[in-house]
Amino acid sequence: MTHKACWFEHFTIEHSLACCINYRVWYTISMKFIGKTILKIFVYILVLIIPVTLLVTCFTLVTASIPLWNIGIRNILRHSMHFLLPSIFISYLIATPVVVSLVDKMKVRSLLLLHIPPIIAGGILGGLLFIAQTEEMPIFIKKDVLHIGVNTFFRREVFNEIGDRVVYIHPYTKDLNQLYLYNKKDGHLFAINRVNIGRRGQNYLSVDEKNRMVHIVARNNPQVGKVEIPFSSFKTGDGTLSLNIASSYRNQIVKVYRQFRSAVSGLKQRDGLILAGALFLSVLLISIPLSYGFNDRGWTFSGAAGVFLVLAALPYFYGFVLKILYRISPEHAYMGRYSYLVPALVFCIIGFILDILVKMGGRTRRV
Amino acid sequence: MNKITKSSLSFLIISFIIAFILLFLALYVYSNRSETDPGLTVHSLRNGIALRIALIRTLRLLPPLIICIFITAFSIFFTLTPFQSESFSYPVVATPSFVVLLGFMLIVVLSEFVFIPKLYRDREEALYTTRLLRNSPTHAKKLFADNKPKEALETLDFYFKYDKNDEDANKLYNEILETVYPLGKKEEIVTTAEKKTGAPASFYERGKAEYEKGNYYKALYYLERALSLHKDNREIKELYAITRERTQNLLGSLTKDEKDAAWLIGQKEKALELLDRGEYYEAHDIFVTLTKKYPRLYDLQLYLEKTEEKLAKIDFRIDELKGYEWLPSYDNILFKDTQGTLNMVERVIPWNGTYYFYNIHRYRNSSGSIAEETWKYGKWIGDKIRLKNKSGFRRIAEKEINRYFIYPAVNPGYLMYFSDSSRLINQLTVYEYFNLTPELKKSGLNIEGRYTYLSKKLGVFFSIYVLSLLLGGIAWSKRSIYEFPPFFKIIVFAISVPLLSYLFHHLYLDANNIFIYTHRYLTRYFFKNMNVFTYTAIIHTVIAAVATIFYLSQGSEVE
Repeated sequence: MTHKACWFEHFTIEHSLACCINYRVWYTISMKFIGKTILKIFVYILVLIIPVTLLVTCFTLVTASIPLWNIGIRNILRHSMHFLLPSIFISYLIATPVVVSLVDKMKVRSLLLLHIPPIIAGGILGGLLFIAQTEEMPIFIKKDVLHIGVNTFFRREVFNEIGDRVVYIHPYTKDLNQLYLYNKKDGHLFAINRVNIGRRGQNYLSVDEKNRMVHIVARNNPQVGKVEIPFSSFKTGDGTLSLNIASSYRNQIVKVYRQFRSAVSGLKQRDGLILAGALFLSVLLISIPLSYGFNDRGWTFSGAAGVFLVLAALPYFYGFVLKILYRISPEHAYMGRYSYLVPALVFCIIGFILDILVKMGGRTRRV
Repeated sequence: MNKITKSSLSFLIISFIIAFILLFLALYVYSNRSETDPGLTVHSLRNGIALRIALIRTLRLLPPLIICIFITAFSIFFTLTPFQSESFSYPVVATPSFVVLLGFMLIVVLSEFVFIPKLYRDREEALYTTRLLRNSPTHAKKLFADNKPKEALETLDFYFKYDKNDEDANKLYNEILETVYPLGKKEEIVTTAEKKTGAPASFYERGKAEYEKGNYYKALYYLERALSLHKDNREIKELYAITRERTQNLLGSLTKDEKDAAWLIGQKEKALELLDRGEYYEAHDIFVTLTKKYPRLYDLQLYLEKTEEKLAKIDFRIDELKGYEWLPSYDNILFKDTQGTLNMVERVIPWNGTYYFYNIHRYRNSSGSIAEETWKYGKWIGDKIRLKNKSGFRRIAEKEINRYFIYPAVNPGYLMYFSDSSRLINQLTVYEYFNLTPELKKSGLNIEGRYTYLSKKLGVFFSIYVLSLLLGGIAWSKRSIYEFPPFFKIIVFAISVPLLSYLFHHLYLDANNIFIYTHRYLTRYFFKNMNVFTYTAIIHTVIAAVATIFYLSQGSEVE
């Protein structure tokens, strides 16, 4: 006899009351689970926010080819405030699958239920950020206030290796320096005397933030004239972000971000927000079932480690799908004026399919 | 030691050895295909380079490897059948694992401080030999074409030390031999080693041998040398007197009159006195004049050679440098000397324990202006570089010494890597790093201070300790002993855990860099004299203590 048949055949007031009580118990347990999961997500966000902000800050500085060894803590703080919003968002994106992958499976009554805490947590975060923005709280700095100068790029009295060039600065008075510019390719070394730091005098060394160049100007030395060294020639450091694997990942994120920017650029602000929201939802819809799928039959560490793979694979997956979809969509305009939502909806559908697959996998599993 | 402890030790050590070997083999195959010079036909050298590159990479990957082994051990190994017994408790596996971790850390300490720098140096030397071997056959051909068969054969002999089977080189060698022998020049092709073995042992024996052959001037030279060492030896004195009489008879036929002979003897004695006093330049001038005037007086030739031998220790002949020009070099070296002059050397050739410099540009800072000076040749003599444009020996006046000599702060063996600082820094052992950093900085190298270097290394060691204990502890708390995990989970584990170990290790190093960076603010505002190493050591000790407590707080129960 199935549970359903039993329910119909013995439908009495007592049973109805029992069902009500069961429902209330179920409701209380579920609410507890949702509440606890939301709390866990926020705890994880709090734990992750500082390292993630630092990482995002360094990530943007390295992407902008600004060396980190002498950037200054104030610059880092100012710059990190500028990137607080994406840092919170990334912390949330990491925290959610980690929490899902470590959740006690016995307490998960439904896979659908598991989607609710991340969405509520996301909603709370979004609401808080919206209030912070509308109230013009000082957590957002609209304009980047990074202060960089010659000291960010050069060390005195040592050979600064910049691609094929070597720059050696020897200060001989408080304001004046001797500068040696050596080109490894052609073997020419130019000695420039009386060099000022900043745009003054006949010879100077200055940083052009706007055009992202370092200028070495020697007006009294026609062989040197004006030398421009792009920021990209400078070594940014030897940290994780400079590893080959990390730079490839960094490039992929930048690529996806550009794809997203180009998608948003032609849209109105309202449509842009809808697209961003839909993409955000799609990330949740994909990462939650995958993380839950990894959280299976003990070995929870493997599940948590699997989240790392999910997060690592997402930018490549998004890049790939976006590339295909933006190739197809101009020829086939679906959904009228909301055609820009097609990629996001495709991701959401993929998420739903994953949900179903995980659910089915759970049912077929022998216990 | 109980059975479980033994099993845990063997699991950790064997898995470490297997992982190390597998990683090394994979990297060796990769290095052999991608990193070595495909034009290099000498297999032993090629394999040697690939082997070193692979070993360096494997040793560099030791920290993530150890972390990965700990995660695997606490996730899988310690849940397997050998550990499923009633006597099992967490401390039985935790304690030996901790000891093994300390052992692994010791290996990493040695590899970071000694093995890796040594391997980098060996690799650099092997790369230089590679370049040398590539040039050798071409140079041998050129020497042969210039009618220098002896030098050509010597060059090929060097090449055959590494590759005996090279067909082209063997063909050339035979061609040289066939061309030279029919002309009866076989005797000329005598190697230095052969010359040495055939030579008498002492000056007296050599003098006696030359006397018996009738070479009285040569005999006189050797006997004079022997007499200067053993003034009271009767045997030497007697032979010297006879030889001197013979040479004086011969001298009569060479000089026009008594006055000439007296002048010659006077000059020779003066030169010998100068030679004994160490005034080699003056002695050399006299011997050059005398040998030009009396080319048949062979003892003068020998004295000239001896003087030049002495001079070679404080000076050099340009011909010597021209002879080595074909050797591969380290190019475009920039360095500052101890007087603050900036030097740019177009070529540096290390050979036979010394260094030869070609086209040296010096930029001297004199009262706010820059004076440039160029020299064609330079040679490392003692602790300085002697510079020269013209051939011949000339004593340098005291006031001109700074012009004719460069005084580098470090040996040219380090300077020659200045064109790429990372190449040099990789080769420095902890001892060299500690001793040489101030000098290397003085020479203009962009190198971190010694305590910053130590702090960075501390980050590597503590990364292993902290992450192994922390992640091992987490893995243990999340393990499963009830059923074997599904296949897809094993795959996920196998892919993600090594990558995660690698990433976390590097993130820990980043955190360490941040600690080092914040030291400047600490010393600016709070503890002005605190050393960066002490500062980072305190931070790491606190983190390590937390990790240890977490590791030890784990129990035997399963979630």
